[in-house]
Amino acid sequence: MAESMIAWPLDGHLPAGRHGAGSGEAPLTLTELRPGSIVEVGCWPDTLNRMRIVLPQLGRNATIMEPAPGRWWLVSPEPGLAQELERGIDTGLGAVVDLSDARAVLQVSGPATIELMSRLVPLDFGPARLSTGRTAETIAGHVGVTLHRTAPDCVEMYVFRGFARSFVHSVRQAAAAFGYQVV
Amino acid sequence: MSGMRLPDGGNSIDRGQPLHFSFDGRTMSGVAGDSVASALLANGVSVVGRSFKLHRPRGIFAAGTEEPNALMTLRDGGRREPNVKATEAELFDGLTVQSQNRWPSLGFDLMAATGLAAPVLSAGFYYKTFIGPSQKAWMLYEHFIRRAAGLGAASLEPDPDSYEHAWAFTDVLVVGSGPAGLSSALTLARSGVRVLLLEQEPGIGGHLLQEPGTIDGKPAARWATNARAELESLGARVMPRTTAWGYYDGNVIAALERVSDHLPEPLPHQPRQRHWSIRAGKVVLATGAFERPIAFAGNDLPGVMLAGAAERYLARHAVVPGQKVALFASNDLAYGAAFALHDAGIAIAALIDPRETPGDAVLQGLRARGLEVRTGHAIVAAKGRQRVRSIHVAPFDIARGALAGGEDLTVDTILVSGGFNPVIHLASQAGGPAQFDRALQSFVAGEPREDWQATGAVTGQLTLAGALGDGARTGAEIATGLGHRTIASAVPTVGDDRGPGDMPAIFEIRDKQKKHGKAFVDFQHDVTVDDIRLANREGFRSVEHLKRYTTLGMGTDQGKSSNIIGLALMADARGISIPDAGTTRYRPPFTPVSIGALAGPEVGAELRPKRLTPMHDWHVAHGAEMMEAGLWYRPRYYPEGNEPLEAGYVRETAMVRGGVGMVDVSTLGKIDVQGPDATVFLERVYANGFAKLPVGRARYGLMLREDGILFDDGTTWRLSETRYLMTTTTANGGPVMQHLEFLLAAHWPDLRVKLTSVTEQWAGMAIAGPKSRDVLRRAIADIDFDDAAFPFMGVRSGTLNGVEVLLARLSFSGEMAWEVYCGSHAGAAVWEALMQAGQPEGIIPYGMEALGALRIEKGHVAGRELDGRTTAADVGLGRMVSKRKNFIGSSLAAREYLHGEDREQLVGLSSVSGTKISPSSHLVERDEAGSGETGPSLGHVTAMTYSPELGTYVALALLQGGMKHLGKRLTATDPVRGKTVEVEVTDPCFIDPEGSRMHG
Repeated sequence: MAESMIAWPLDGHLPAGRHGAGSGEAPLTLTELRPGSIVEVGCWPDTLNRMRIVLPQLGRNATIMEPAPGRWWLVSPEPGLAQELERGIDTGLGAVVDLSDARAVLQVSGPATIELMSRLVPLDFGPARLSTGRTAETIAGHVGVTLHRTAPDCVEMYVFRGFARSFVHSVRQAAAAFGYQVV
Repeated sequence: MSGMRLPDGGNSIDRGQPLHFSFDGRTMSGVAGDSVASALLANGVSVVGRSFKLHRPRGIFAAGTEEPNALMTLRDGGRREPNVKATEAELFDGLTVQSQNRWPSLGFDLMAATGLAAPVLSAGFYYKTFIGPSQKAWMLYEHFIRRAAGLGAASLEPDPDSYEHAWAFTDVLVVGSGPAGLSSALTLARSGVRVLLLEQEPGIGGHLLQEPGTIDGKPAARWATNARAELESLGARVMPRTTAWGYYDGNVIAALERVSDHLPEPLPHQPRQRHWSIRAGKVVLATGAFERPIAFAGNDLPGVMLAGAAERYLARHAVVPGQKVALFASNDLAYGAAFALHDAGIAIAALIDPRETPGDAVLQGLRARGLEVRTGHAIVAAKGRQRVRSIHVAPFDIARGALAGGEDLTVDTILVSGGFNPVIHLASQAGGPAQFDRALQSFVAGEPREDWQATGAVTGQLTLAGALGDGARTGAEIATGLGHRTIASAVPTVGDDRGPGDMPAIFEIRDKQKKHGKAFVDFQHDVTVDDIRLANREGFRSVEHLKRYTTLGMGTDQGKSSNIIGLALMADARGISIPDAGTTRYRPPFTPVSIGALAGPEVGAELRPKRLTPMHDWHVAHGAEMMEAGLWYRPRYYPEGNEPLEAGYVRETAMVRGGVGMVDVSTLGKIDVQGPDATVFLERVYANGFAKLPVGRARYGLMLREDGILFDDGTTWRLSETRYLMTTTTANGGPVMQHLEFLLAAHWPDLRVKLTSVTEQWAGMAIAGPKSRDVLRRAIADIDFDDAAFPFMGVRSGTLNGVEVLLARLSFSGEMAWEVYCGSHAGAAVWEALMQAGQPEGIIPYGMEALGALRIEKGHVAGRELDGRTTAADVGLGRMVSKRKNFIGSSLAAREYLHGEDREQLVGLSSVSGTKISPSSHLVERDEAGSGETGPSLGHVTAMTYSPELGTYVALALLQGGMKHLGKRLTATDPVRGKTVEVEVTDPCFIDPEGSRMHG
């Protein structure tokens, strides 16, 4: 598909620069991620173990998240992952749903990330809770969010595309108290 | 004489930072670290307010949250905040402070004349006096009562500041940073436990900041500072200016952080306050104790202060409350205040103790200072007008009360202490009934109902060593319980410790021989000892009745200094023990919480999120008037110039009927239904059959609730043998998903079906009208749009400008129409491409009003007809409901009640005269006899439109008996708007009943 046919959900709603409190290097960086593929894969009760083995092979370089038992999200910079997975996963093994256009993805990084999260979501980011690599379904400002902690100081938030602007507005408002930059 | 600041001392102030503020227009000065109360005392202010009911002059009585008198209005403009306790407010440069409930001024208050009528302003006065002659009369009285008795007024300007919500999680939450809280937090943190410590004051240390004793050889306040530093170095979070105000289920604590209350205005981008919801594994309640006063005549005069408060103002702010001080105390701890004032050079005029003797340590302290105590004596009355001028001291016997004799002494200040009340508010919110403690003569926490432990003064541990040791023990116990092996409980060495000694039950000094004046229990609500006894005589004896009848403890201080005395007096009046009289429970909040903090960021545009379709910017750019549809924003119509709504939607409707138009339907709920059992699943959730739906076809489906009532409708498209795309109404996308997920999880976990919301994955646009095929042919080359190749209800996929599109030939409008779906990111581009492709046909976008008009003309049901009361048969879809299968709702849909003859059922209405039918009309029989009576409602209009094709106003309605009345004339009446129209009952499908336009 031609790139000109694509409109990213946060285009124009995350102006570059340094914003909010303080000066100098901001403790937060907000970035709209634009993955080529977001694919949901589900399995049946009796195919859970088989899927756990198959999925990393099929997903290749995709990031694999597990937002719910028996449900995975594969996120890849490359488009077309859904079709690839559909070829590898027949209906006897599970279900594949393309969600590449269904979400806006906002990445928050920097030393104040976890403190900012405490203003947005009712989740425990402490040790043995939402540690690096883990995923959670939650709400932020009345909007459903799939949250993925990719590093100690980095969180990716997947929100319904239609709520993207409202969501990023409330994130920016909360982030302004710390100071943030958009690169 | 009044209060002042000493030249030296004060562990919480910085004399290098002078501050200026105004009090009732007078400029005063203070220093950094002052509270408004300490600054007022330092400036010699005695009278700080007038009492609520009797307008008596009142002074600063306490030094913390228990303050009943010193309620102030702070700041100006939009930040003006009434009823702030001066003892809790931190001073800042430029602060405006105003006293309340006085007119015209504090010193001369006209309303104080009510004091002359005081004998009748007793408990229940309003109830007894302002009855009758009618309920309306009360409303008149109330107006004047509220003017006379009141607190400060809120600002009418919008609050310029922002507020935040935040969440915190911790292994252990410690509430209170006094000796027990700090030693508990230290032990926990040293043992490796994640700790969060809350302190309502700006400084950490609580009572340690006024303790004369030493810890490990250092001043107690220094030890607190070091403890805080150690806690933070161990990774514990210490939050000053944060009050835990509510204790909720699941060990969730609500807390208010006053981020910027101590600043003239918040720093840029900072909130004024932050509301915390804290989920704690365990909670340590180290909430301390309030000092309890003793009631005696004139005890509300300015100049009367709690002993501990005086000690605190001196230790922290170097402020003394007066120059000639009397101490009246029934415990040893209170002597600390007198000793400290004496050591600071203030004259101690008298030490009065109703007990036989104070403890040895006190006796030693008295000897060392050359002071004498009058044991077995009591203050019977304080005298003065605007301030204490003298006291009457008389011999006192605990059993018999005040005795004859005694003498008057000249003093300007009375420090009073009748014991200590544990601060059990949070414990009470999350625990069983409070337990009476004989040694304290007060209540301690009951059985925990949440996972908390109380420690320190709140349990009655009133010595420094006792509180420190108790805190450390509690910390060690919790750390061990959490599985931490190395427990590092360090109990420091305490020097010059002191204890309360014997604390007999003395709540009131009563002179049975002679009246001396009013003795107050609840200062804020002007409840006297006589009011309590009056309540008893009038039968309001239970604590709950006592509280409501006298308003005891119902002020903004919630009776923190008065409740126990009130209970004790009631118990005494009834001749029963205090625990037998009972106690009330504490409710949240512990201290007032601003509405702004509760609302948090959810104000203005943040009240609820906006949900926008991928084509939103196009609609706005093309002049659409947007409207809310749930959280979604949808185009209502696209006015041409100043075109009014009706002209606009009529134009758009006519264009769809005669040419081609396109509407954004991205908001429809969409659910991917996938798996080997997907067909079985659909058969169970839809009332009509889906088993035989071929791949590449769509079907209109009806979903019922369990009770047989219509739930939702929509089309479901079969994409493959095992995969469907289900669509729902815009409003029910979420509820249908929840309903189906619940069924799968709870009823049919064996079904191999996965449901995924793909509402946001697909942008959707419906292109409708006789010329729609021409447009699509031009835009999408790889789909054959011939009727045979792409029949009505067919589903096909193709590409448009390289974008994959999924099409279904569906019609909500009744015209030839297709729904075109594509990935949301490409939605705007595909929409634009179709608009371009349709230019030769003159394609227009149309909005919700035209969409509504088109469906009304066609008799298609929507949310107004699927109103949670109608069945499939009611809306003319009864034949769709399968009789050959079981499905959700099938059993209860067979109920006789749902098949009555006179149920309200769907009909069409046509305006006879061509005038508008109010969409809020009820249907009634025509008033042929001209009686002026409308008769009962026979049904109601659900939707109305002007039909350009029929040239009149038509409507859909739910009418008793439904189509039985075809051709009948009725009156559609909207008495609220005064609109009445004659209508004829018609078939709800006004246009093309054979459906020839959709087909072909």
